[in-house]
Amino acid sequence: MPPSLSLHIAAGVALRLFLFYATSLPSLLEFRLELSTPFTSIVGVKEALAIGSYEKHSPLLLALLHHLDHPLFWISLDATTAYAVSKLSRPCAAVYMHNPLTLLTTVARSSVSLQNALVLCAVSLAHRGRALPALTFLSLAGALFMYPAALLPPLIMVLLRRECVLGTARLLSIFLATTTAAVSLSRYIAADWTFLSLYTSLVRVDDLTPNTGVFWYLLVEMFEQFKGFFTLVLQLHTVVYVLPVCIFLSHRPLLAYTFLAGTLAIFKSYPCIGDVGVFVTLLPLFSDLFQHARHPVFVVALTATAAGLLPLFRYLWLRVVTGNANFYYASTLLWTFSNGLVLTELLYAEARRVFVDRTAHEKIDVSKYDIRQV
Amino acid sequence: MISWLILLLLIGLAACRDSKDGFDEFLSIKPLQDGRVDTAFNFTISDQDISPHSHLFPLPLVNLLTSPELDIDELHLSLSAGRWDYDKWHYPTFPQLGSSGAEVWVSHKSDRSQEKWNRVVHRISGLFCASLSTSDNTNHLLLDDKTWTYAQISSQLPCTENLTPFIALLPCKSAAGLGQLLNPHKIFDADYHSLALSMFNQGSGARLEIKVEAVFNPARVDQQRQYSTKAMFDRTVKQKCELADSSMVYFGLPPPPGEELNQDVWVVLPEDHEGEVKDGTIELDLMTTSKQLGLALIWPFQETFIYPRYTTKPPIQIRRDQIAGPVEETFTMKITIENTQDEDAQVSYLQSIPWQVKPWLHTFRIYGDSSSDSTSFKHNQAKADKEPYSLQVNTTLAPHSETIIECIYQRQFLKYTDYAPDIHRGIDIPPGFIRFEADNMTKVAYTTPMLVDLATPDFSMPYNVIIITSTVVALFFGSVYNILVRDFQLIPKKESKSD
Repeated sequence: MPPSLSLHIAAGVALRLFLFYATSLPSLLEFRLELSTPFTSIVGVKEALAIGSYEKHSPLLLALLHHLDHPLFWISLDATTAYAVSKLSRPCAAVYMHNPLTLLTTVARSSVSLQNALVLCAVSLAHRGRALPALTFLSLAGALFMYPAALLPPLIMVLLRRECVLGTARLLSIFLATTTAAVSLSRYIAADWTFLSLYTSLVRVDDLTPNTGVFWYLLVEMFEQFKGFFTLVLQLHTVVYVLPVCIFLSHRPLLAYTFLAGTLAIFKSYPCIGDVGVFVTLLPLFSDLFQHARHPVFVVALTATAAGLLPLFRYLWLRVVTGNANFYYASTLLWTFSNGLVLTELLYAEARRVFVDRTAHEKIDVSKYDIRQV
Repeated sequence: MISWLILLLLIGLAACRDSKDGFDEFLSIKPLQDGRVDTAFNFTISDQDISPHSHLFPLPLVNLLTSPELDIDELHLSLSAGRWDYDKWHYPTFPQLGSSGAEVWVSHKSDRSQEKWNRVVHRISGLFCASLSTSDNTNHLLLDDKTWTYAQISSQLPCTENLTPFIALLPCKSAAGLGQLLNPHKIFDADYHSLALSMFNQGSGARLEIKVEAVFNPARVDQQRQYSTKAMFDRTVKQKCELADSSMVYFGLPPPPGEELNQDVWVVLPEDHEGEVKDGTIELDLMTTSKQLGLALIWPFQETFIYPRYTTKPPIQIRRDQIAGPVEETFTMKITIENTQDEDAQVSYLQSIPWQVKPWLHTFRIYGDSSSDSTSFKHNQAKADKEPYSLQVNTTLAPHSETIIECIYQRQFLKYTDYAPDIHRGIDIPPGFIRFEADNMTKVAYTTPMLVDLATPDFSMPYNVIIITSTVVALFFGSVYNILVRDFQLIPKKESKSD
C-alpha cells in the first residue's frame, strides 16, 4: 500500500472512530431520513428484526446486520471499500474516505453504505478482470437492494475490456447463477417466499415517507386513477438510460457505469443523500473531462446548496411548522436537478472530448472555432 | 360500596318477585374532595322473557337483542365529555365510565364478524343520534372469557340529541320518577358528563342498564360550596314513577367535621327529610316519601369556598404523556402507572392507536419498580385503513411502585386522499385504560385522549406537483437525449469576437 493511500485510509478510519465513539452523532443520525430511507435505515432494520417482517428488507441484510451491526463493522466496510477503489485510482479512495455524504451515511449506519461498498467493489474487481467476484458482488447488491442489478451491462462491458477470457454469455450465466444463489439463500433464511414482497414494495412505492427522490410527493398528491401510470413511467425512466448510454459510451465503460449509478441514485424509488456516493467516488477517474464541462462551479455549488437545504426545509416543515411540505419538496427537486446536471455535464464533456480528439486528429486548429451541438 | 349494596338489593328483589319484568332506578349524589359533586343515575330494566309485547323493556332494544343477524350477547355504549379527574375525584360511581368521547363494546353469542359489527354500529348510531363510524378503529379483545369487539371514537362528544333517545327508553320517560331530573341544560353544563347504556342477553330474558353520571361544580358561579338537588338539576321529582319497583336517592354526606373548625361544619336541609342515614349516606325511598325531592347540603360558616391545596389520590393512578421524539416525525408516548397502596395490584393496560401513527416496536420497553417476570404484553399490528394498533399489558404492581411503558411512534406520511377531513387539527388518539380489581369490583381508569399532529402535504398542490416533477424528469431526459443524438460541429468564430 502506498504511503499516501494508507494515510488517507487511516485518517478516514480515525475520523469515523472519533465520530462513533466520542460524539453523540450516531444516535442522532440513525433516525435521519435524508441519510437513509425506511428500506435502508438501521431503525428500519431493528424494527424489521423486532416484528420479523421482510416487507422492506432482504432476509440476507437482516441476518447480516443482526450479527454485525457494530461501529467496527461499518468502519472496516468503508476502509475495505476505499482500498478496493484505490485499485481504480488513488484519488477515488481519498474522495470515498473524506466525502461528507458517505461519512455521515456510515455514521448513521445506513445500509446504503453496504450497497455503495458492494457496487464499488464490483467495479473495482471488474476493472482488474476478476469476473467471478465482481459479478458475485453485483448480484448480492441486486438481491439486497434490487436497483444495482441495472448496472450489469456496464459491468460486463468493463470486464470485456479487460480482455477477460469469458464471453458475454458466460458472464451473464455467472451472474444468473450467483443471483439465484443469493435468492436461494434468502429463501433459506426466510423459510418462505414472503421476502419477495421487498421487490414489489420497491416497485409499487406504497410507503410515502419523504426521501430525496421524485416519487414520494408525486404519489402523495397523485390522483388515484393515474397512480399506476405514473409509477410505471417513473420506474421505466430510471432504467431507460442503461442501453443507450452503454452503446454511446461503449469505448469508456467505466464512465457508463458511473453515469448509470448516478441516474439510479437520484431516480430510484427510495433514494437518499448517501446514494450519490458511488458516482461521486468515481468522478476523479474522469479528471480529463473537467476542462470540457460547461459550468462546473455552478453545478457543484448548486448540489452543495441542495444538500444543505434538505435537512433545513425538513426541519421547517415538520418541527417548527413555519414551512409546509412544498418547501421540502422544492429542496428534493433541487437535489435531483443539480445531481442530474452533474451527470449531464459528465456526459456532455465526454461527447465534446471525443469530438475534440477527433478534430485534433484531423489537424484542425480548434481555437479558431466555437464547438456547438447542432 | 354503595353500588355493591345496591346490586345485592337488586338480586334480592329479583329473587322474591313473581312478575317477569321489573324497573329499578336510583340516584347517587356524592360530594367530592375538591368541592365538586358527583351525581349518578341508574335505571335498570330487566325482563325474563323479552318479546315484542314486552311490558317495560323498550321495543327498539327488544328488536336489537332478538335480531339474529346482530347476534348480540352483551353491548355497552358510552358517550362522555370532559375529563374525569381521577386524582381528585377517585373512580366514578359506575366503574366503566370515565372515558372521553364515544365507546362501543359488543360481544356476540356466536363468532364475531365484521359484518355483524357494522350492522350493530349502524343500528345504535341511528338509535342514539350518534355518528359512530368505526371503519378503521375497530379492536378485538378477549376479556372475561368473552370475545369483545370495541371501538373508541374520542372526537364524538355527547349532546342533547343523544340524551333524548336515552330518556325515551325509560318507562316513565321524563314525566315521572328520577327521569324528571335529566335536564339537558344542566347535565351538559357539568364539568364532566357521561351517558351510558348496557344490555345483557340472559337466556330468553335480558337486562338493560341506563346510566348517566355528571360532575357538577357548585363553587364555579359564586364560590359557594353548598348545593341542592333543586339547584343542580333545576327540577324536582314531582311524582313517583308508578311502573318502578324501587326508586331510591342516595345522598352522600361529607366526613363529619372536626370540633374546632367551624368552616367545615355542614348541615343537611330540610332537617325533617324522610331519609334514613346509613354509613354517611341519606337513603331516601321515593316510592314511600310524601314530599317532592329537595335535599341540600350547606356549610353555614363558610363565607367563600377555597379549593383544597392537597387532595388524597386514588390507590392506582395512570398518566399518559406525549414527548417529542428523536426526529421530527416521531414522538415518544410514556405511560406511567402508579400504585400507592400497601399491597400488590394486578392490572391490565389497554390502548389502541390509529393506524396512521406507527409504533417502533423495537423501542418498546416496560421499566420501573415492578418485576419483569410478572409482566406480559401483546401487540396487535395495525392494518392500514382497517385496524388500529393495539397493546395489552398485564402486570403486577408492587406496593408503592411506579411502572412505565414507553415506545417511540412515527407519524405516517399518507396519500392526500387518506387524510381525514380537517386533518390540520391533528388526529385523535383514544384514551388508554387500566382495569383492576378493587373492593370486589372491576374498576377502570382512563388516561386522557391525545391529539397528534400528522405531517401533512399541501392539499392544493396535485396539479402543480404533477407538472413540476414531470418537468424536472423531462429536463434530465431531454438533456441526455440531446447529448446522445446530436453531434458537434465547428463553427468559425466571428472576426469581431476574436479581436
